[in-house]
Amino acid sequence: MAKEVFMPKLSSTMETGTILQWMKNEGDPVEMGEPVFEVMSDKINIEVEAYEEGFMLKKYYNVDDVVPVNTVVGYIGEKEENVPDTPPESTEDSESDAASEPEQNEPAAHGTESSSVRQVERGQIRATPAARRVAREEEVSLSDVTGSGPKQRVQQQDVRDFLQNAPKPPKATPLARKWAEDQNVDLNTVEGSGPVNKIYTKDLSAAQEETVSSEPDRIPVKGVRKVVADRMAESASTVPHVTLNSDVDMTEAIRLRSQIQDKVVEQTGSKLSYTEIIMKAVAAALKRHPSINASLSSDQQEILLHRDINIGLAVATEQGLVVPVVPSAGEKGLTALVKESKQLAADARNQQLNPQQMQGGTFTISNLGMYAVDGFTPIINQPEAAILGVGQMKETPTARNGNVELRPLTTFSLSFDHRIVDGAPAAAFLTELKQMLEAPYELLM
Amino acid sequence: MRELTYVEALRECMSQEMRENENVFLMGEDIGVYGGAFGVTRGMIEEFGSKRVRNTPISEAGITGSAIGSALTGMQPIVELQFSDFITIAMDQLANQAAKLRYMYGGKGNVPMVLRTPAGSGTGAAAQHSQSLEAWVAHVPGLKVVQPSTAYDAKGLLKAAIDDPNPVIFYEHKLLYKTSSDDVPEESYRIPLGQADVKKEGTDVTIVATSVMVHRALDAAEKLSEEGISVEVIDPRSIVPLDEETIVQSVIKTNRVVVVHEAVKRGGYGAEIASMITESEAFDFLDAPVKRLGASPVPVPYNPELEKAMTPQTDDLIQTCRETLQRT
Amino acid sequence: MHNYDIIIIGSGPGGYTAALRAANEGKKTAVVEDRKIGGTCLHRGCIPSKTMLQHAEVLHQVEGSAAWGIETGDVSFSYTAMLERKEKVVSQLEAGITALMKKGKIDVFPGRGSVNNEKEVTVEKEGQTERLQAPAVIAAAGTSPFVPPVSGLRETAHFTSDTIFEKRELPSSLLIVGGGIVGVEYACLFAGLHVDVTIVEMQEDILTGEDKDASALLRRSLEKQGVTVETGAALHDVQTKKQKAVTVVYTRKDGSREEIDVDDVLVTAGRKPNNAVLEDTSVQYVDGFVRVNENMETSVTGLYTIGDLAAGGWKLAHAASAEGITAVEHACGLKPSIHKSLIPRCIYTFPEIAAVGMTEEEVQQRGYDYKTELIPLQGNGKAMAMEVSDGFTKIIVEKKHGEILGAVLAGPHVTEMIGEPAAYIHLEGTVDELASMVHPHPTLLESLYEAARSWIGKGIHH
Repeated sequence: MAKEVFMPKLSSTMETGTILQWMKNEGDPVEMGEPVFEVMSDKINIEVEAYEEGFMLKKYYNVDDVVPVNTVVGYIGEKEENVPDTPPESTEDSESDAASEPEQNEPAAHGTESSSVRQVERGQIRATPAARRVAREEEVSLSDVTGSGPKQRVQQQDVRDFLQNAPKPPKATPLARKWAEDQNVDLNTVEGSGPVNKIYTKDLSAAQEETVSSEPDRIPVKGVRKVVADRMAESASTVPHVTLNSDVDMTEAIRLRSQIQDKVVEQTGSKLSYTEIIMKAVAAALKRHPSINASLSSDQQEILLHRDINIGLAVATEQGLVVPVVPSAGEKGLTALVKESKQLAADARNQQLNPQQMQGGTFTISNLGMYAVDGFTPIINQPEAAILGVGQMKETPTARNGNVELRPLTTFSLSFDHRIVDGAPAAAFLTELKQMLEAPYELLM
Repeated sequence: MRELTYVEALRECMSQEMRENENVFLMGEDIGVYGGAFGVTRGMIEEFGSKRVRNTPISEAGITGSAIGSALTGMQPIVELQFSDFITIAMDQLANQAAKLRYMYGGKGNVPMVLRTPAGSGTGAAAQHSQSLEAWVAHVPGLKVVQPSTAYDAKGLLKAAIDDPNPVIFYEHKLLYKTSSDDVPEESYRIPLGQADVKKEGTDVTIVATSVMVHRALDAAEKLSEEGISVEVIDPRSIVPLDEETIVQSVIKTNRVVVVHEAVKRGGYGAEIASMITESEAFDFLDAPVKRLGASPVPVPYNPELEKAMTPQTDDLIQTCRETLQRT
Repeated sequence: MHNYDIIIIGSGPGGYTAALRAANEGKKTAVVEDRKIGGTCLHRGCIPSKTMLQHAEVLHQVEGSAAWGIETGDVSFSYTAMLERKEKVVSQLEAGITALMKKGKIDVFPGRGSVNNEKEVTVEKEGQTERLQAPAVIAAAGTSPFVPPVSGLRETAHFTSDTIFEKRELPSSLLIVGGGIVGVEYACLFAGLHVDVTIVEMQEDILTGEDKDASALLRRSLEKQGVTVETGAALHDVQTKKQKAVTVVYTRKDGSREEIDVDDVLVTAGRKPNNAVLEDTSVQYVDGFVRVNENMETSVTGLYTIGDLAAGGWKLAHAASAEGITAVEHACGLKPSIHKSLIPRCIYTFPEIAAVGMTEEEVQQRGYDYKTELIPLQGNGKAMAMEVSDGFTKIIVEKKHGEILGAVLAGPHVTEMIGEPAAYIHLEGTVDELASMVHPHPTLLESLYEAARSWIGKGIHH
């Protein structure tokens, strides 16, 4: 049976490969391990070796053709075997980012991977006997379970996890179900009074009576909530706030991020997010606009221009808002910023921040870009001179060179303390920041 | 309790038996004044004399055949072969005579003999003096096959082997001779054949290991415990008869199993154990393929590095356990 | 003074069921009974009347069999033999209950019991008195026939459901005072035995409180059997005029006055509670019956009342049993294991009537948005085979969720069939589930399925 030769997927981001040369012509004998063709990806050139022996039966593509990964580029098999005249449809979507390292035996790996996909299509599921037993006992359909084993093999634990996480449909009488649907009652929240906790309609009315209570829940203002409340009230009532808005075209920042993402992941184990790119740009802009990296002395008699650029990051936690600080952000590269800010955010959410980690900030960034927020007026984190609010990135029709184009725009809102800074220098800072993010390669210099 | 080496434990067992039972006697090459190739019988000729500790010519077939003959007359001979590799010479006697006689004569004659012989590599003894051929004899119905891994097991299993009315092939291991147990009782005791020993309890993966591999499995278990992996180590102690129940129950508990022996993996007894597991009730509890570890299919090399490379080492076991647990 | 965990006064279907349930929980239990074990139901109610109705039914079938070509020759009927068979059935059942009591190590104290607020029970028998005490006492003394204050009635020899069995010969004519369940059942019995029966009922209809379609059907059927049914009628006077014969005077609904002579009078005009048992307590009453909470507990803690004596609820044997179980379980500190509010109602007439859930009237009063579906038995294959045409199946269904609010069945064997709609209501199955369940063919019960299919607009035959 003739075996396919695939365009290998040499990295997680590789979607196509260019054939640089064929080492074998149709009809040539092929030994296992012999190079068959050379491929160029966006990163490297590599010779793809044969994982079968036989004869080169078919080559579907020519030199310089750009071929999607996992596409059949040819066949190796016995002489006179029949192979399709045109390359068969790719059986696997290149979307599946099964983290594959660039390995020489990639084609072989993909050969089996695609055949495993075919198996699943035939209704067969790869699962261990133990997983099958548990699925049988618990009446779980294995096709509902995501396998964590090799080649998505379903392990016993996967079935148990599935059972654990699967919402158990509560037992309820048919009438109770109709009632619940009609009244928008979540049956999972209702305690059934019948045998094996079966829910009857009377249980629904009991549950509804409970929720109907008009009495508001009362939560004492204390801890983090109290600190946030006091500081925000003080800042808003004493600091003359002015907020400047500017739309920043993030096209280049997106490109930069996608291009260095892999490297960052490789080095830090975390993904580079826009927050860190913005932080990097803010630090660079602050360096050029020292009047923004400032604060008012406690006696309000002096303005302090800080030498260090320590950037605070507003982090929402279950307890409330906290602002851990990345010290000396101006001196740090993106990977260091990724590492530090990810660590700080995680510590903040786990309530593991120590007080030192929240002190010494000279500027704060509050990023609400993950929400449907365009722009907002952030309240300054005293005694700092300014705070940057970041909204969502949105495809926006934009005039460019006489045409209307859709560009990813983000609104940046800079609130500054007018006692410390005037409008013009603040505006100059925001403009600089915008330019930097629109041409972010400058940051790398 | 008393610390005793594997060699001393074997010798003590034989001496105690010979004092108690005048039918027991030894046969072998240079087992007299020289004390045998590995010194197991050293000093015994002085106590029991040359009639009961009999030096023989260099003829494994001859020694084995005479032992079978004497066993049929009611004696309980213990034969020592210098290296288990030479069992091949005695194979006709073992496979066609010792194993069959009791059956073919309808139980009118027994062959209550023990054939003791050292196996295994690790001593630089090269291709003809380092093999582990236990699967050869395990394949022949009528022979029992024992592989003690500790001094304690050696003494108790040898006693059971001597008492057994059937021919028992008793595999000692050259690397184990100098190892000792600190719990060997002075008095005689018997460990029944076909009773596996759980050398270490665990919950995540079972290693079924024989002979010297028991020690590598225990080392691997200790290292893996630092990674939070709990290994159960089972030593079958005799592969014929095999204590299937203990192995099956362990796999039902851990859901994963690695079978390891020093013998070549291809056609090795590990295949038998692995198949037994998948045919058993444990099948439905397997959460990973049954893994086998054994030597590479090559003659044992003389070069010590290559010799090590061909046989399963502690690191190989660690790696295989991780793989079976998907913790790579 | 004997100490018990639970004492039950009365051994009818409420009392003896409660006693067995209590014994089942390992409680030291005593029962006080001044008549025979089994109460009204066994001796003067359900069981004797059903046994005798069986005679009437068989007689009716035998008499009609000639039309099917089954010739029997002359048919004779023995009233005495019927009474003897009734006695046999009753005594068999009584022996069964007695054995169960013995097995449960339940002490039975014969005598008239009464209780006070301290839950001390006094048992009096022939001048002897015994005293018992328990933390929980259940009064299950039941009710007695009520004889209304009609001129001459109380002075004239008459029968009640308690005494009718004492009559040793069949009358040729009978006046039944009251057209409730007991009245119509006896009307059917005696009409079936060819007695000339007249029912005089004060209310506008017989079987007030039951489904209107059912009572109308039954009325037609009674009249077909030759029973004179006077509703909205006022009984004025009852007098013994001649030897044995009684003259009865009543006014019809239209004001006309009627005077008839009958052999006997049977009074089935309701029942009055046997409250004497609770005279020494401070329990509260509602319309003469004892006020109880959902656990059947009276205003005196630990004192329970079940069955006919308790206010609210249906005065039916199985209702009393369910209440008895509830009371005992509450007294034992257990969660009630019975859903006592859903009581099927059975009337053993020709045709039988059985109902469960709410009546249409009740549904209207409660303001439900509902729709009914009534499927007559005509056209039902099994009914035709049985040559039965009187009967129907009716479901009362709430429109929004298809909740089955009530069901009424009329026809042969419907008392056996009411369990299905009862189960639907109990398990909160809706009309959709009922319509989606396959029913066996040919059965009378198919009409229930037809009603449900028809209700959802997917009827097969209707």
